[in-house]
Amino acid sequence: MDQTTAVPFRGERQAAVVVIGNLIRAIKSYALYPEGHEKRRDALERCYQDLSDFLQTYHQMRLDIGKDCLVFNGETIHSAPPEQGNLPFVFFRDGIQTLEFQDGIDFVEVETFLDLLNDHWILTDEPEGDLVTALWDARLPHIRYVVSDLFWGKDPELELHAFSIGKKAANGTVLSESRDSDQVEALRDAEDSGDGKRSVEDFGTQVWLKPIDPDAVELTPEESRRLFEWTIQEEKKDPLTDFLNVLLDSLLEIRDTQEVEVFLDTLKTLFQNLILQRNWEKAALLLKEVEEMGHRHTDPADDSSTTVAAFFKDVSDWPVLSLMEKALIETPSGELAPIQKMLLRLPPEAIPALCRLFTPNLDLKTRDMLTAVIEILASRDVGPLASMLKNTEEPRLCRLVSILGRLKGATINGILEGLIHHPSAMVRREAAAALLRRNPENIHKVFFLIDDDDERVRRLILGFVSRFRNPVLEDMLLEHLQSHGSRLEDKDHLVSCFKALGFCGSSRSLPFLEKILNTQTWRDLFRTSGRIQGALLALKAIGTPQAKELLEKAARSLHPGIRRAAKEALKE
Amino acid sequence: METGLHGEEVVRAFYRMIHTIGMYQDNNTLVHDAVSKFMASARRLVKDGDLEILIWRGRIFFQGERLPYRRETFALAGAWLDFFQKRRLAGIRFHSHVEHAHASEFVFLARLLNGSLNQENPAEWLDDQLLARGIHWVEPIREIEEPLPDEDPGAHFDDPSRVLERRKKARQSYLRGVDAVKTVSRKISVHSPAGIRKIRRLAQNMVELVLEDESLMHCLASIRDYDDYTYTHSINVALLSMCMGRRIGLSHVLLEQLGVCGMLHDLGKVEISRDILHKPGRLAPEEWEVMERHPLNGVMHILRLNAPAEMKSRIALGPFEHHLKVDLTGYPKTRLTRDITLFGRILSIVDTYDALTSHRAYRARTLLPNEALSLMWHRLYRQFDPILLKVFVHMMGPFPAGSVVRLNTGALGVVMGPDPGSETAGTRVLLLEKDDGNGFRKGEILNLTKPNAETETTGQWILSCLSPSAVGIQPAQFLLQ
Repeated sequence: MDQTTAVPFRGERQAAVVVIGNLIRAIKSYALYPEGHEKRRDALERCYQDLSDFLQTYHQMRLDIGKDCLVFNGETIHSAPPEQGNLPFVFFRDGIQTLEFQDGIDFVEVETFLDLLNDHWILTDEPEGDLVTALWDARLPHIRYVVSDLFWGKDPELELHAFSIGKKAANGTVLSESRDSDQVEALRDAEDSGDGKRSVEDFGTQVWLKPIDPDAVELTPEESRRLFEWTIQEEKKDPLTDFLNVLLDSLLEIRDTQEVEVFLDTLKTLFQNLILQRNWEKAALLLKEVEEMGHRHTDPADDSSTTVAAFFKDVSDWPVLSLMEKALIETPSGELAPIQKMLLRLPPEAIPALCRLFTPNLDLKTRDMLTAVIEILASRDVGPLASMLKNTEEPRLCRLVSILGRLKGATINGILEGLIHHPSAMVRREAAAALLRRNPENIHKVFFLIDDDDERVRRLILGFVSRFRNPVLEDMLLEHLQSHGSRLEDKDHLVSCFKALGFCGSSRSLPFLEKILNTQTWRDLFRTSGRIQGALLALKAIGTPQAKELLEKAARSLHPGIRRAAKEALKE
Repeated sequence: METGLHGEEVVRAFYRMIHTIGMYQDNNTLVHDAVSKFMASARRLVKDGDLEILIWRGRIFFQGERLPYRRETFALAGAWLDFFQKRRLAGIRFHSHVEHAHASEFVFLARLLNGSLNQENPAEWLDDQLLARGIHWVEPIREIEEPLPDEDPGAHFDDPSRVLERRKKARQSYLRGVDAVKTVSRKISVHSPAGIRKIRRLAQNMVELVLEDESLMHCLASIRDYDDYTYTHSINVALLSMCMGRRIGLSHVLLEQLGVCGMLHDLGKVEISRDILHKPGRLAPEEWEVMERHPLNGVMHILRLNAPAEMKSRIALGPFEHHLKVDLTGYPKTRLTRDITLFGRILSIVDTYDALTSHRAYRARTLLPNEALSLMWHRLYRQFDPILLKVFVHMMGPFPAGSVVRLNTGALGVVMGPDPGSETAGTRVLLLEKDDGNGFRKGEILNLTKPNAETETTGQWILSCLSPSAVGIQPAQFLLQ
């Protein structure tokens, strides 16, 4: 049945029951569904419609609030146990005695009312106010309420006459009158705002006791305009920046650990708000000032330094830095500098959280910025980065290894040397490359990867040794080619190794190559083995007259396989 | 939507004009500004015919169209509905020839509307007054509906029952305020968790009182307690700050925040020993150091309150800044704070005034209210914001409410401030009569249109101001009982 049309027929009481029922349903849907959800909207619209219809018919709906009931026209129309989460108790808890809805109520008023009710449904441990303060702030034009004095408990017994006014003249006559006064003693409160040294005698009482010209206190048009502007600004102002300045100024003066804890706890919350507001400069300032305060508290007996360290650890954790995720995606690449500046104020402990900020949606410049930040932070202390290496998945790990490779220090070498044994081929490759970048002599440490299962890793090593003519590399390759390792059964790999020998080797390798050409098996009559092909290519790469001579000799070989391979090598 | 936005602008400008004129004299710049703004928006609209603001079934209609509500305009709509309902008016109509009206006529109209609150039949009275003045461009619309059953149409602003009720509420708020600040301070001093829920509610009650009867709040703020200065001082600062905030047009929400700031501004004195606070004479440098830390300690205590960070950020600034001079000297020392906030500047002025006019152990004599204003105006002005100092001195008047005064006739009295329901500016003085013992009882109330000798040539005027302790009375006790 359509309740809206039924309202006039059911009578006022019944209609009131319907309104309250819909109000409760609406508030429940507020708890169940997120903002914008269709069911929540429907419940709100139904609630408004019924209330509006009721008020059009009856002009007002006044409810008396009991702790477990709502009373309308002297009759209970809704009851529920007096506990949190029940409508009468929520009103009662905050001292609302009567609640009145008046004709003319607007949809947006009902919506606001439900928002406030939802916000204050359960009283939190840290209430800044309650439903009453929220209703007062909102000033809903058609929802009136009366608040019970019960909220205050027993009123203070004090009365105005109990306030002491100080000494009275014994005879009840006047001790002094302003016009008679020519001497006033020290006014510490006036001095409070000064240098603390002056007394009122310095002010010259004769001058200041003269009356104020009434015209002088009239505002000029310019003053009036400024005053108006101030009030408008005050209405719109976000106090966050001013508050931050006050807290940071206070940091200069605070002394004991408890004070430090209180301030830093607030600054942590503020830091999160600054991130949400994308106010990177202020966030950087906050970190800078806290850091400087930490430097002022270096006494080991003072726990403040521990508190400061805990603060930096907290703000470097994922719950705080995750607030940057959206901002990093949305910030244009040209505006990344302030973010970078702020991030560089974080300790190396921030690296794990910073690494989590690499999301697929980040553009290249933002990735580069984050990489640069991590690199700098890790250069201060590699510990957090190193500890991440154990349990980070492959793509992110590769980035970390790449960053690690750019850092200095023997510790890094040790970490990288460990990583060349990592199960992930990409990580092994990245670590080996990093080691080689750091010092070409590290080839000794990574050369064993020439036999790696992964082709990309092998190619890295071969590529590196192919770059220089170097007897050390040459010896390593010769030794490797003579080792008959299982990987050398792979013809492509074998040929690549010979080629590399050709690029890094010298005449010292010729006897080894010549021996290969001269030692054929019966199978070599019909096909070219990998070793022969490799030896020929190596000779060609060595390129010395002796090597050329051996190559030409091979082109004239009686063995068709060698002859053909040598000709091909010469052609290439 | 177009009409809605225009309507909101006109209604806002009209309300602001009436509100401003209720507080200031005709020649005040704020009055001039408010009138100009309303005239400009009204003239723009009457080109198309009459301009009509109507209240019908609890809604505001502008040019026949219902004014849409937004969350930001609830307060304006509520205040406007209240304004008309209390006067039993259904609206107001400006005829097209309003564009030829003079600014002084708008001021006259606003004063009439403010004053109509005390009339038996406001609409009829308004008609008569406008007719007598020859103003035909405006027409009050009489109420066409029965008032709501709970409303008492006969209850005027200055009805004795309402006056008594207001005074009772004022006393109650003051005493609860003192109690609440004491409770918070006590909890803080023993490191127990303290919240601000009650303080917020009190501030809200005080805002209502300030909006309804500013003079009463001035009277209340004249309460002094020699023995327990800090708590009464905190409430006085809250009250006078809110009165000042009202003068400059702050919204009710900001007034509430300002009130909370006032109540908590000296929270940092909790841990200062009474030996220092009440030490007669000058403080030693190390004692000064302790004193100078109180704004900072105040911020720390506010941070420790059980309240969300956002709320704390709104109420910590004023207490931190209340001893900073406008040039940022004073204390605490600052590096990053570049400007003192509006709340800080207001608190600084009010705090100084209340301290100067309070009994302190280290001072042989307390300054009288007019002396304190003179000192602040002529000597201490450099430490205050000059514009706000003007507003404050203007608000307090030559003899602030609660001042004990001697008239030229020799009679003693207590200044009550201007009559809030009256359209004429004047200072009311409650005469004090000797009772059978050694004290005083309430006498007649005089309305001195010109309160001091320099402007008064006949009749009665205020000759001088006296110390309440010298007379042995708590002035507020006479004004608020």
